[in-house]
Amino acid sequence: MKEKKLKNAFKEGPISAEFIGNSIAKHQSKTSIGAHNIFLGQVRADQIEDKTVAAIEYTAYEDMANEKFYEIRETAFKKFDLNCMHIYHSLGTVKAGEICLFVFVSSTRRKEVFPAIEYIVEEIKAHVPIFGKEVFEDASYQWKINS
Amino acid sequence: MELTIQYFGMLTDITACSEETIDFNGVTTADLLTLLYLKYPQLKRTSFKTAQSQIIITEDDVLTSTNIVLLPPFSGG
Repeated sequence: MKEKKLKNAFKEGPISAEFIGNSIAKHQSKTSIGAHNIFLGQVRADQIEDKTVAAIEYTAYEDMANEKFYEIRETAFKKFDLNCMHIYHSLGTVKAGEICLFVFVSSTRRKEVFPAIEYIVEEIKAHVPIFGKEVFEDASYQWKINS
Repeated sequence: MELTIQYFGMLTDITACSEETIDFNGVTTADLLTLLYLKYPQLKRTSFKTAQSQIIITEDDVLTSTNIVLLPPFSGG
């Protein structure tokens, strides 16, 4: 069996603007890159009947999730001509307005990064065992369903 | 055989636990689900997938792991 090193894509709590900014800065030394594309998933303050979503609490079946992230990465590298790719997803509480998903792809040329980011985000939504609990302002909750 | 069953997301509202061990004398996923439906009738009306060794399995699959995981619809992102 091929030896593979699974990265941990999870971060506790929201993904900060500083973290995202630092990730961009780290790529300044990689001068073969000509195009980056970034997707940021943000928690929406959805109104459901008379209640407003205050936060989402994320849990995951982490072992399988990191395995799936690995498969998505491998497939994306095969499908698109990418120099590098980073995926981060929050665990725990992420308040409305905060970032819960950060996908970052880089390529020599721009045409690769647009379809790549869409592919990766859709694959994450469909195949990674992550579960969101939408917590309302009054502390009641409902389980999030991806549309 | 003793199995460890893990529950995630909305399933934990039904089972009131995230993990439990149960005695199991069956063979397939379907055998296990029969047992779990008896214990948690509400599970039968809930959408979920079953996994072992981090792979989704079907009702006809033979259980080869002692760790089985029940996963409701994914809602990441």
